[in-house]
Parts: sequence; structure tokens; C-alpha cells
Amino acid sequence: MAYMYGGQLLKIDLDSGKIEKEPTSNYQDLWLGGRGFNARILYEEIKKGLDPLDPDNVLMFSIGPFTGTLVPGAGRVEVAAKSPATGIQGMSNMGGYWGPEFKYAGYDSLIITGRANRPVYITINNDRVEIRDADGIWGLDTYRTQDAIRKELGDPDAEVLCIGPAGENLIAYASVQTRVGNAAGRTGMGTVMGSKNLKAIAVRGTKGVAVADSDRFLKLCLGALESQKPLLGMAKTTDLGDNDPPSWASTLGNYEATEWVEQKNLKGGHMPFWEKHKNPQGDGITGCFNCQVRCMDYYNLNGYGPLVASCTIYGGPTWLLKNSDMKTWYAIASKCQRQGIDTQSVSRMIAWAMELYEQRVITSNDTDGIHLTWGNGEAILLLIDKIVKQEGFGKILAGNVRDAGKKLGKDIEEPLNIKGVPLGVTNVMNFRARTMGALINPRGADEYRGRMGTFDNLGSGSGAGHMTGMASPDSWEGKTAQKIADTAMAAKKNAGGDALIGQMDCESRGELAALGQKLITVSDSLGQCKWNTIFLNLGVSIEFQAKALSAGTGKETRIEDLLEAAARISAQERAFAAREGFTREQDTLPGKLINSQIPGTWPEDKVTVEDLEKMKDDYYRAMGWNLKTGIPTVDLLQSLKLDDVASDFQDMGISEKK
Amino acid sequence: MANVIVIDTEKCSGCKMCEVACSLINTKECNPERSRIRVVTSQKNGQLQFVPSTCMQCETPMCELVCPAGAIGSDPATGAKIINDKKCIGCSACSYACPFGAIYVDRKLGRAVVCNQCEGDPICVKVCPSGALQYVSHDQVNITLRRLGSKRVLMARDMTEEITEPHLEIISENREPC
Amino acid sequence: MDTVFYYIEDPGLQIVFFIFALGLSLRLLFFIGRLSYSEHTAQEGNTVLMVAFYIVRSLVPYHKKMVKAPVYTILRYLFHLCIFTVPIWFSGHVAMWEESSLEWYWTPISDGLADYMTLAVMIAGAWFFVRRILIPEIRRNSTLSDFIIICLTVLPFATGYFYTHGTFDHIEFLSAYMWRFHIISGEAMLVMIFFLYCVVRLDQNRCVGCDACTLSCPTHTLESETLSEFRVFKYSHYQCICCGSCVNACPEQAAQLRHEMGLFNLFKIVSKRKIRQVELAACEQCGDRFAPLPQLGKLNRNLHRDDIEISTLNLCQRCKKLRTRKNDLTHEVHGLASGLR
Repeated sequence: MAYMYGGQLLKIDLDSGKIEKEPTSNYQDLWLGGRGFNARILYEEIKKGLDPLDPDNVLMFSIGPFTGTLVPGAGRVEVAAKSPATGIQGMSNMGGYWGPEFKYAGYDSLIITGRANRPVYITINNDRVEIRDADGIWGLDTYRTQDAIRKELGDPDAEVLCIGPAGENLIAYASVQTRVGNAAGRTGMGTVMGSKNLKAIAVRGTKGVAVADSDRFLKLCLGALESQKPLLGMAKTTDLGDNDPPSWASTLGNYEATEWVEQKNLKGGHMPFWEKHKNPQGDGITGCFNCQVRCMDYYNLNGYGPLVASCTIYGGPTWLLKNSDMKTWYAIASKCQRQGIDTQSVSRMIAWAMELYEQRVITSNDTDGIHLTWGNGEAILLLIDKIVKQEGFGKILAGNVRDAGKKLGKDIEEPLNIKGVPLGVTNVMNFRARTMGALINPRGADEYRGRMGTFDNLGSGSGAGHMTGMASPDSWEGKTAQKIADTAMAAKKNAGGDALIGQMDCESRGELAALGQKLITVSDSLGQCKWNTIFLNLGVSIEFQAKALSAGTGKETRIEDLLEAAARISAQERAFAAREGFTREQDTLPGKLINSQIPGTWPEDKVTVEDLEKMKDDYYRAMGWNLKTGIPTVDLLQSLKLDDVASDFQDMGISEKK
Repeated sequence: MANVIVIDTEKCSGCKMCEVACSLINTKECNPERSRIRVVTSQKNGQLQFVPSTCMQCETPMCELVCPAGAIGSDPATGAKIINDKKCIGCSACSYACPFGAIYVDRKLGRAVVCNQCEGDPICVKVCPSGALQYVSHDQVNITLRRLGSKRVLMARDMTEEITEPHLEIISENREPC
Repeated sequence: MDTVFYYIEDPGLQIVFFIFALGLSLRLLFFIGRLSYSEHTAQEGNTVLMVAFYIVRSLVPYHKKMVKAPVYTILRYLFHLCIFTVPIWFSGHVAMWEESSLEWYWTPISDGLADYMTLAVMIAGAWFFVRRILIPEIRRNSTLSDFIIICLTVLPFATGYFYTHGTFDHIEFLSAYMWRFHIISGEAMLVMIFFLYCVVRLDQNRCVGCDACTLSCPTHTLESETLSEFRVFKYSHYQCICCGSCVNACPEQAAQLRHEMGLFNLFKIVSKRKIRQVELAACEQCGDRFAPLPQLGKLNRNLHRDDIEISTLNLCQRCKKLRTRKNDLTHEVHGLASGLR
């Protein structure tokens, strides 16, 4: 009896059409699920140096034991493959309803290899798995693709994830979309899917998921849901309470965005626009499977069609491109969803081009006659179309970050990126905790996977000196983080410094990053939305996760077990990168952001190389990785039962003892 | 005192928490297919529509009428429909007769199942985050709504394609379930 | 003529007994094998315990039909009890076994009891034969083999009785050959038993395809499957424990347990055979095949009798909910039945 897990790993080879199933039990003890399965299997199956667009790249969709259950926010899927943007493991997390359906069909992981010789889509209905021709749907936008597949299957309840024309055309940051506004956008997972000629994956499952101790599980979940209720007001995109600054991007602590919003006098941010154009269904908000937060805004704008907007889609097409017109924002966001492009990446690329244009480094001769002035909505929409088609100037912006500057043929700095993925819209520069998050995120791009916002104020004496605003100081996370901060504060005091750790100070941030990374990895592997956990301030602690997993599977799992699995998964992800040649050197910020002051901040906010290196030392030490190389040590690997990785390191000559 | 679960479909944001909670408490597994309240999700070109539906406790219940085994009755306390497990043969007649698709045969159990309001404290109402589900006493709801089952049924021949949902009237201000 | 009869006795009897023993062993083997395999695939409950329960229960006349037709049920029970008891415990037969090379002996029943039992068999058998002709409902459902089975079963007992009591001794031919007729009919019955099965039959005129029978089947022997626009009922005689659950469950009295001579089904161990097929009605909104047409038809007729019409009767679960609560977005997407799949 498989409790909590679907029970099978589904392997599909698009070259041969072979479909195989393997028991999940081979992996679940050491790797939990979701991100854990991805990390392990990608390392096992992908050879070093593989071109990410090669048919041998492995694309994976993995859910966790929590996916599809009553756990708050239990709808998540981790998508992973070798990223065409970074050359190391790409990973992106997606919500919606596809994950639970996949679990109900009896699976935990979908592993896709090879390349189909013509456009195909995969359909899964419980035990029946088929590869079908996608002739009639290749080229359709992501909304219509899903409709067409449901119609062809005669099943209005099938959940579909798909790529849009952007993924088909292999632009570097194509996304995987599901439903209306749910996406796995970062690191080009849609690109990999397009390179396999795979248009979509439809799933329908009716088996449900069994729970070992259902009474206890039910009680735990109801308790967790209850504990979230008082905190919900601060998590919804639309519900900002009395908070000012108004724009969503700025509530993420983005000074640059806040400054711009205030300059433009955008009173209320997007709120008035939402009030006017919200979709009557659900009072204008919707969300993912089994989540009471419902953080997404649901619109219907006359002439533009419907749109579901989660928080991150606001930032790029507004403040980053200096566009203050909400209808333009709507058009851009809608286009990105339908075409299947990551909005953050495309906004970053266009912003880069706009800056060059405004500085006259490039002219309209370079841009196919498009006037790339700040906030020019028409230009943006036109350019996105060209990017999707990889046409003219669009082709330059559609490729990898690293190549963009070179392609223009001039000595131009590449667009802001971390490890090759265009920088996200949240600001990584103000609080050191967030800077650290951006440095150590295994996929690059942003600070989401080391999301450190909670620790911004820890040790600073403000906000009661505790975690930012909402998270509980009595939780395991709160107490552990406080201990780390206390130790650092004591050390600082002994060294003759100020007893407090300010938001711009580096002490303890490295260790906190190690803690944060592990906590997030746990959520990503269990299949629970990290937004729902205490880490992102919605009340659900790792204490709950351990108890719920125990009650659900019938096997006792402690917090230590979860963290050990997280350490193992982090080490495995790091090993993938190390095998490709990544070391501590690559854990850095774009040069432009070091030693520079960004608008809206103070001079002392500037991040120095010293700051970065010091925090990195603390981080590697806390993770048990070698300080010189930033790679897991042999001792650590062996203690985590990763002996094969240890011997691989030895063969590659990058093996390090303590 | 008899209550009824009242649904405002426009408020529903489609999260399915009601389905997961209901199936877990009744069948010990998380499986919307085995929930007694279902949310029908329709998607078309980005347009999302969520329609939750469960037993309406009709005053002249069609399910009871057509059951060949006489297995359906009512709980005197809550008014919820009760199915006699020993008598039910799983023929699905009730399922075809119910205008709301609320009662159906659970393949695993081999017999019909329907919402029993969790014996007075419905879990779906508890977990619903949007306020689309409310647990309200009979005398707080316009009686037309409860007769809905039979009224729709008997007026069948007069009905046109465009069926408009009768406006939900809550008579009393007090929305506390009794 | 005499030589033929000689061989019918020896090695005739031995061959027949051997076939009988072998056949029943084979069938037992197939039955156990099939049931174990189905338990493995069904993954539910303890089949062995359940089968044991039903077998034990079948040893008493506990059946729904007791309420409806008590006389028939008691007669049938007695009939089977006697045809099992007499051949094994009749003193004449016991003596033969003792005198044979096997030298087996067990305590026989008294001759008086054997007589009464044999008469019971003959009377009950006659009644079964006659009622099958007289009662129209049963006659309609009967085939030639039903009558043959009764005759072949009663004949050994009749001839045995006549032989023992010399009933027809006044007719010279019968007097000389009665015991041979007894042996031949006994052998015929034994061979017949080899091919005789108690199987479920679904009366085509009564069955509405509702699935109550398949849901009640404790061994998953009787199953239904949706094949395009049909619901197909499948059955395997090697998995059926003749518990009668389906007969009890059927709201239309369409499911019956019947004796059948399955000459062609002897080696059909693995696959199930189709015993009924019912068309599924298409939802008038989305075209999904959602309910058996005969069942919907019957529901409609019953409702009409009470002057009720349910407008949603021809809609599937999903469309029903949308129709009664809200208009549907998807009808434009899904089109009509003919355009699907």
C-alpha cells in the first residue's frame, strides 16, 4: 500500500516511444520526492558536458508526498532538466492543479528522455499512457492548447501543462504553463520541452492518495489551516491592508521599485485597476490546489481576455520597463502567459535593450526600427512578438544572456543575470540576507530558493528583533534562526563591535542562508508550496511537515530526517554543478551590482566583494562544503550516503576532504 | 434543527479544499472523485468557472422516490439524506434521478453515497476560504430554494435553455448555523 | 449386446469414475488458481475467508428466494442433499466399493432412508420438469439442456429405485436390463457432472444494465466494462462460487443462477466471457456515455406513471451540475456525441 505517494515513476523515451514504470520506493527514503527526485535522477542520467538542447537531456516533473493531500498549499510540481541558460541543473516550481492529478493517477515523477521525430503530446489516464500526435495543436497559445487537448480527449477534467510558441521556437527562457496563470518560468524548462518536440502533457487520475493515519493527518492539517487564517491578510497580492508602498513589487522590499512607484505617483499600485477589472468568479481571486491563500488576481479586461496574475508578474512589465500603464501591463502579461515566456526574463532582457537604446549605445537601426524608449508599451509588445518568432532584433534578445551583448557586436555588458538566468524583479541588493539568498540559489536567477526575506530584521533590534513581521518566533525555525543570530551577535560583541546585526550587516547571514536553503528544499521536495510555510510567513512550520509526513506515511519522520534529506539534496544539486565546472567563483552577483548604489538606497547599502566572500565562507562552513572550492567534501558526501558522487569527484580530481 | 449547505457559486475560487477534506474524512483517502461535494471546473480560453454542488435536501427527493431498495431516508436532526448501507444495491438509479448530481455510487464501496453534513458540522464549510459555502438553518433560507429540487423537476417541460439561478435570499440577518 | 454392456461395467465404470475424479480435480485446480490470481489483482479483503463463508452458508437453505418461493426452495435444497447423499451412502454402493480392489468401506445409511431420499429425488425432479413446462415465465427462459439436465440427474435414481424394488420386473425386458440402464444412466450423470456448471445468467428481457450485480459480487467474477458505447458484462465460471449475491442484489430479478452444460467452456480458464451487453445513453449536452439506456428508459416510464418528468435525466453528472446551477462554458468546446473521440 503506497501511502502519500503515487507509487510509480513514469519514464517515457520519446526516441523509441518506450514507456516504463519503476517503483517510487527505490527513491523515496533518501530523496523525499519533488526536488529530491529531480536532483538524484538528473545526476544519474545526464552526462557531463551535455548540450541542454540535445535529445539526451532529461526533463523531469516531480511531485512530493504532500501533493494532492489536505496539507496547506499541496499543489506543487518541481520541473527540472539541464538548463539551456545556466548549463547546470535548471529548476522551476509550478502550482495549479496538474500535480495533484498526476498523484491521483498513481505517479510521483515523470522522466522524459529523447526527442520525438514530430510534434507530440503525452496523455496519462491512470494506468494508460500514450504518446499522441500534436499536429493540430503545435503553434497554439497555451490557453487554447489546453482547450484543444481536453476536447480531443473528450475529457473536460483533464489537467494539461504545455509550452507555447516560445517554447516551440526554443527561445532561451520559455516557460511551461498550466491552467491560466500557473507557470514554471525560470531557467528555460519550456525550452527543453520544446527541444523534445513535446507540446503538452495531459493527465487524469481517479485513484486518489491513501493516508496511513487519517484521523491524525486530518487533525494536523486542520490545525495548520487554522493557524494560517490570521496571517492571510498579508499574503494576498490584492490585500495589502494599510501597507504603503502600494505596488506589489515594492512590498517585496524592492527599493528601486518603490522609488519608481512613488515618483510616478501610482497611488494604490495595481489595486484600483484590479477593483475595476476583476473577474466576478471567486470575487476576482483564485489560487492553486488546496490553498486558502489564493494569492492570484483574476481579471477579465474587455478586449484583452482573462488573466490570472501571481505576484511576480507585476514587477517586470511595470517598474522594470518603466511602464506605468496598467492596460499595457495587462497586455504584456497576457501575451507572456499565452506565448509561454517567463515574464521576468523577458522584462529583464528588454529593459537591458531599453537602457542601451536610451543611452544611444544602440539605435533604431539595430532594433529593426522599434523605438525602445522607457515604458513604450507598443514597442514592448512588438518586441515580444519578435522574440517569440526569433526574428531580427528579437533573435538577439531570445538567446542566452551571455550571447546577447556579443551578438550586438559591440563591447556591451551582458544583461543582469545570476549564473546565466536573467535577474528577477525583486531587488537583491538591499538587505544582506536577501543578497545571500541570491548568491546561493542553486539555479541562479533570484533569491527565491534561499528566500531570506524572513531573516531581514533578525538581530537588528527592529520589528522586535525577530523575523520579519509574520513568522512565529516560537517555531522550530524561529528558535533555530534566533540561536544563529544570537551566536553571531555575541561574537560580534566580543570582537568589539556593535551588539546588533543590522539589515546591511553580514554576520550570521551565511548560516541563515544554509538554514533557509534547507527549509525551502524540504518544502520543494514534499510538494508543498513554500509560500504556505513559515518561511514565507504563512504559519506552517517544519514541525508540522515532519508530523504530517509521519501521520501520512505511517513511518515516523523527524525534523532531523527532513533536514538530512535536504542536505543530501543540496549536495546532490551542487555536485551536478561541480561536475560542470562550477565552483565558489560562480556564486556571485553581476559585477554591476557590486560596489554600486542603486536608487532608493543609502551609500552603506553597497555590497562589497569582501561582504560576499565573508558570507560565502559562513555559508559553506554551515553546509559542510569545502571553503576553497565551495564543493561538498568527501566526508559530507559519505555521511549523506552519496558514495558514488564522492568517487565521481575523485575521478574528476575535484575531491576535497574537510 | 435542520440545516442546509448553501452554495454561492460565484464566490468559489476553485481551490478544491472542500473536496479534499470531504473525501479524507469520509473515505480516509484524499480523492476528489470520492468527495460528496464536487466542484465542476470549466476552462475556456483562459476563462475559469467553478461550480460547487452538493445535496440540496430536496423536500420531495427524487433519489428516495426512484430507489428500488428503499434505501434512502432522512436524518431527523439535520434533514440530511441517509443511505441504508445494507439495503443499497448500487444500481445508480438515485444518481440518474438527482437533478443536482449530488448522490452517486462509490465504486470502491459498491453503494450510493451522499453528503450527510458530517452529522451537523460540515467540514467543507469549515475549510472553504472564499465563503462560497455556508451552513444555514432552514428557516433562514427562502423556502423556494429548498423546494428547488422538486420544482425544477416538475417544471421540466417548461424550461428553456437559459436557466437562471434563482437569487439566493437569506431572510434573517443572523448567519450563525444553529 | 451383452458384450457391450459388459464393457460398460468394466472397464466402463472405472473409466467414468476416473474421468469424474480427474475432471473435478482439474476444475478445482482451475477454480483455486483463478481465484488466487483474481485475489492478487483485486487486492481487497480476504477472499479465502469470504469464499469459505459463502460455501458454509450454502449448506443451509438461506436464500432470498425463501421469502418469495419457500416450497420451491426447500424442495431444491432437499433434492441436492439427496442426490449427494444417496449415491455415496447407499448400502448397495458401499458394498460395491468394499468388494472392489480398493476395499473402501464406510457406514451406509439405512435402506429405508435411502428409499425415502430416492423417492424425494424422483418427485422433486418430476416437479421441476413439469413446472418448467407449465409456468410461462420459466418456460420462456428454458432451453433444451435444462430439461436434459433434470432427466439425466433423475434417471439414475429412478432406475436404481426400480431395480432395487423390482417395480418393473413384470416386464421381462426391463427386468433384465434395469440394472444396466442404472449403470449407464449413472455413468451418463457422472460424465455430465464433469461438464455441468452453475453459472450466472442475466435475463436479456429483464436486465437494465444497472451494475448492481457486479458491485455485489464478492469475488469480482461478474464484472462490467465500458467499451465505446456499450457496457459489457463479463463472467468466468471458474471464479464463481455460486453464492447468489448477484441474484439477491438485482432489482429486476434478471440475475439467475442456472445449471448449464459448458462443453466449450471447459478450458476457458483465463479469459472471461461476455454474457450481456447494454448500450449506454449519450449525455444530451456533451455526448459522454453515462448511463445504461434500458435503465434510463425504465426510470422514465416509472416516473411518467406518477406524472413526473425529470428534465436532467438525460444529462451526465457533470452537465447536470452545470445546468442546474449555472450555464456551461464547455458546451461550445465539446460539441456533440458524434464528434467525440
